[in-house]
Amino acid sequence: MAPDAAFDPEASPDTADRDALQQDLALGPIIAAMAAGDPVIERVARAALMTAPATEPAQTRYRQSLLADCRQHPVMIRRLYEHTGEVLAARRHGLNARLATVVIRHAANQLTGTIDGLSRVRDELAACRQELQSPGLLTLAADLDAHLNAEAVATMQRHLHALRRGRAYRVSARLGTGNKGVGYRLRCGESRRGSWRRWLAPRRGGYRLAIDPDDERYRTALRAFREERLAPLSQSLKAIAQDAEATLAQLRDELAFYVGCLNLEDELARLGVATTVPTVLSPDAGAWQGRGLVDAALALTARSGVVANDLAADNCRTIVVTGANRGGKTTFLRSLGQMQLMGQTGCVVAAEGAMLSARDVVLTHFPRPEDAGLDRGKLDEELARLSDCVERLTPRALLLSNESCAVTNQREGARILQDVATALHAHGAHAVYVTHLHEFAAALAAWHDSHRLMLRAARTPDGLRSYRIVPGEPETTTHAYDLFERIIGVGGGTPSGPV
Amino acid sequence: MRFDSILFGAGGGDQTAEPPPAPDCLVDLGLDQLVERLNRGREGYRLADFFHQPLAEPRLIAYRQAVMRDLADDGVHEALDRFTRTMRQRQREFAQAASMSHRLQAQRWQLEAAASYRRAVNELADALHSAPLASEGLTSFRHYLGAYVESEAFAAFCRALDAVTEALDAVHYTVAIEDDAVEVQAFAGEADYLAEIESTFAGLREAGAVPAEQADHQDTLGVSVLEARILDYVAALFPDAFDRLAMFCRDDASYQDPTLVRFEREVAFYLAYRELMTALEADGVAFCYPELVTAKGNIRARGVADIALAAKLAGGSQAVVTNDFAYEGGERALVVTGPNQGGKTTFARSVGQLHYLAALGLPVPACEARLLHVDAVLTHFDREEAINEQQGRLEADLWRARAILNRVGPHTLVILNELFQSTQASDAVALTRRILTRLRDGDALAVCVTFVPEAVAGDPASVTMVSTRDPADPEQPAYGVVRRRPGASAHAETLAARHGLTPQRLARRLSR
Repeated sequence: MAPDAAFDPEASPDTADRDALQQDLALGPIIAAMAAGDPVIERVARAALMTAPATEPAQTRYRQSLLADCRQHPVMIRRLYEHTGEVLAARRHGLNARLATVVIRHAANQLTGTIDGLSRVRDELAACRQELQSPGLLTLAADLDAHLNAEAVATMQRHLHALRRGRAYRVSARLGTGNKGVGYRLRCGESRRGSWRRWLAPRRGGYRLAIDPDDERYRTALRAFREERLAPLSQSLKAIAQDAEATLAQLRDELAFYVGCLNLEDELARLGVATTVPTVLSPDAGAWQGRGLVDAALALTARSGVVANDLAADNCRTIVVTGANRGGKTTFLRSLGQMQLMGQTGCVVAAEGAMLSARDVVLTHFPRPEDAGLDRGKLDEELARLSDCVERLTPRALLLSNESCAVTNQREGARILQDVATALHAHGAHAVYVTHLHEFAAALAAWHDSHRLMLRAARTPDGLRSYRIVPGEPETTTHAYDLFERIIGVGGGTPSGPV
Repeated sequence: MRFDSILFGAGGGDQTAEPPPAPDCLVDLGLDQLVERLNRGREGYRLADFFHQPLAEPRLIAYRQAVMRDLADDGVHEALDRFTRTMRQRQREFAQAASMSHRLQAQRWQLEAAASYRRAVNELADALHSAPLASEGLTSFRHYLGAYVESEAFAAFCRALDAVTEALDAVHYTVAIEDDAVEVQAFAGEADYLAEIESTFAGLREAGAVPAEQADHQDTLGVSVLEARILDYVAALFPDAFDRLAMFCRDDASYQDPTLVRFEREVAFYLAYRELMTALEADGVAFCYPELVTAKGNIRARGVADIALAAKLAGGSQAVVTNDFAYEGGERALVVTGPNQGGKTTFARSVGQLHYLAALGLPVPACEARLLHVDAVLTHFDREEAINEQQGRLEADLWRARAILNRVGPHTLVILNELFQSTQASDAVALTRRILTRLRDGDALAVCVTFVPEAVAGDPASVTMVSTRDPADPEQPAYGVVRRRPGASAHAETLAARHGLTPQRLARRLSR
């Protein structure tokens, strides 16, 4: 997922923010399409989308190139993902056992499985090495070759074999306080147990004490002695086994992300939705455009044609979208958020072409239907959330505001939102406001500022809404006039469709 | 070069004599508990023996005071304290050796004890070498120690010790642990298995992982049956080292210098008292070196604290109350009276303590003190348990008074606390007057706590003192005892209290 850092699916913003973002941008269907029923992919995909704003453009490109390799070898990638998952599922607990001998046996068993799993990855990658392009997979292949080449694995297996067998151990020691042994060190060299040589005289001067199996005192003492001497080995092996498993789990999680991306591409392609790998530039590049941009969530759930929009907002910081209700404004807003998150995380976006600058925070301010109640309390709640957004805002943030401050009377709401917008704009943050607060829109329309873009939900010449968003100043009459015309009709004709 | 005693000077102190019994006054003065406290952690030294022996010779008192002054230097104190601690460690190692059931373990503990002895001696010699010493006692001890460290006997002991230690340190063996056997052999350079495991699997470790430590944890000093056998085999594999050890232990502890062993015990007397001083000084108790005189014209002390009480309260929040006293001209008796819980007993006790501690050659808990060099402090404190049914209480009191009067002389301090309490006042007046007259005839110094101060009315040899309490602050025990005619000014006292002018309040206000 990154050239120099481990990907941690748990390191995402706190759950409240995460749920809000997911709900506002309708990420659920997208995540579901990535997961295709696999809980690991679901977890990883969600985390990847949530942490997308933290992703540097270079990192995004790193993933994009890796995804390109995956697209070339989808069968292999899916196979590796499944295989690593199986190895991890097969592990058994036992590393926390009290007895060192038990821990050693478990650790050796687990390590054997983990190493087999990693060796399989190594072999699969080696088979298509020539065709790989991405630094990600090439580095992984090289790392595995360096640490887990056939020779290294053979040495490990030899050790693991001996450890699983619970072979005899040799310790060295010196004399300490009261002539007790101190400075114990485990030493290499098999003892002669089980060898025909045990019946011969020792190789060099030495004394052998055979323990009578019926002598409980000696057996207990031997057991305690062995446990104490083996404790460091058991700790060491436990740590190795845990680290190795973590490596494998890490690999599995990262593979899960790419399998998820493949799943999403397949699903969107099946639905006939165009996808593209966006060009993701630095936050200061001022890039913000998309062609044939679609709300992927809507496309995945509606399963019928959805309206595509174009955006040409290079160098814009503030975008205001006005226009009729049910005019596709929210959908458009969502598609912008999705493009940002999916694009930055390294996934494809639902568009024919896209170029965008990275943002370090994506914030949403959408109405909360569950908060319906008294206006007073609602505004309170809304402004509290708006204030939270401001708290987390950076000059490279993107705020998506959907009908903010619409709960109070128009004039007051417009005033508040205008203040916020002015401040954000000055701060350098990017924001998109979907609004029907006419006074707010009019005020922003009056700015003589090339970094501000006014958009409007388009109407067809016959007055019907088209779900397309095009550049345009706000109209004074939106909702009422629109509805009147459509339902009552200018000439008193029949309504054009159900309301 | 010869050195005898840091407590009793050259040729002093009879090592063979029975330890002296505790003087009777010790319990009454509260010094028995103090001695117990001083002895704590040093039980082996039986320091009580020294505390039971007040000194008759002014020369010895000066000798001890000088040593104590040297000990005020932190470096000197630390050196001597470390010496006794290391020597006590050696003692514990001897005890450990004696408790070991395995011969080879016992021998090794004896070796440890010898090594501790050497360390104690060398460290002390090094530390004292350039220490700022002025006392006759410690300077001549330093000479002695220097010569001892240079002696051939000590050098030979050190060589032997080194040889055995080196031989044992060189022992390096391996134990093969099998399911049903162990095998012991000399170490033959086998590679570190854990290191090999760590390096084999290094590629699987996370970056920055720390390899496991092979730490020793010693939960018991003894060995299991198995370890005992292993030790026997190790001894058989390395006969030279273990022969040397056995040889060294055959000499037992004869290497120990008796003078140093005696010094260790005696110097602990000073160390224990200095520790107590440090603790009490932190609570605001002042100590001084008393001037000891034989003439009674001008005996006085300022800022006197009850050391037993102060030690009990040490570290607490309660302030230690101090008093002044003086015997001027022909005055021979301080007659103390006043309300209960007013600090009368504490006062009487502290006068006795001061004289007793001064006679031991120790600094005393006072700001300044000019004291009578007494040969005995005789006390009569009320003891409920001492009364049996046959004797009436009065009779018992009189018997004890008689025992005291028989020993009274010009070098005694007598402390009478609440004598004749059971008697009716008129009788008590007469009896107390008679006793005081007898004491004056014997030319003794006295403190007399009584509820009948009129017994001494008009007596020029007696001074009356009154215990006080702060009426405005009855929760705060006062224990202040001041020189005054009894009953004179209870009203003035109340007024002073109201204005915050009692000694306690003043002290507290001024210390802010």
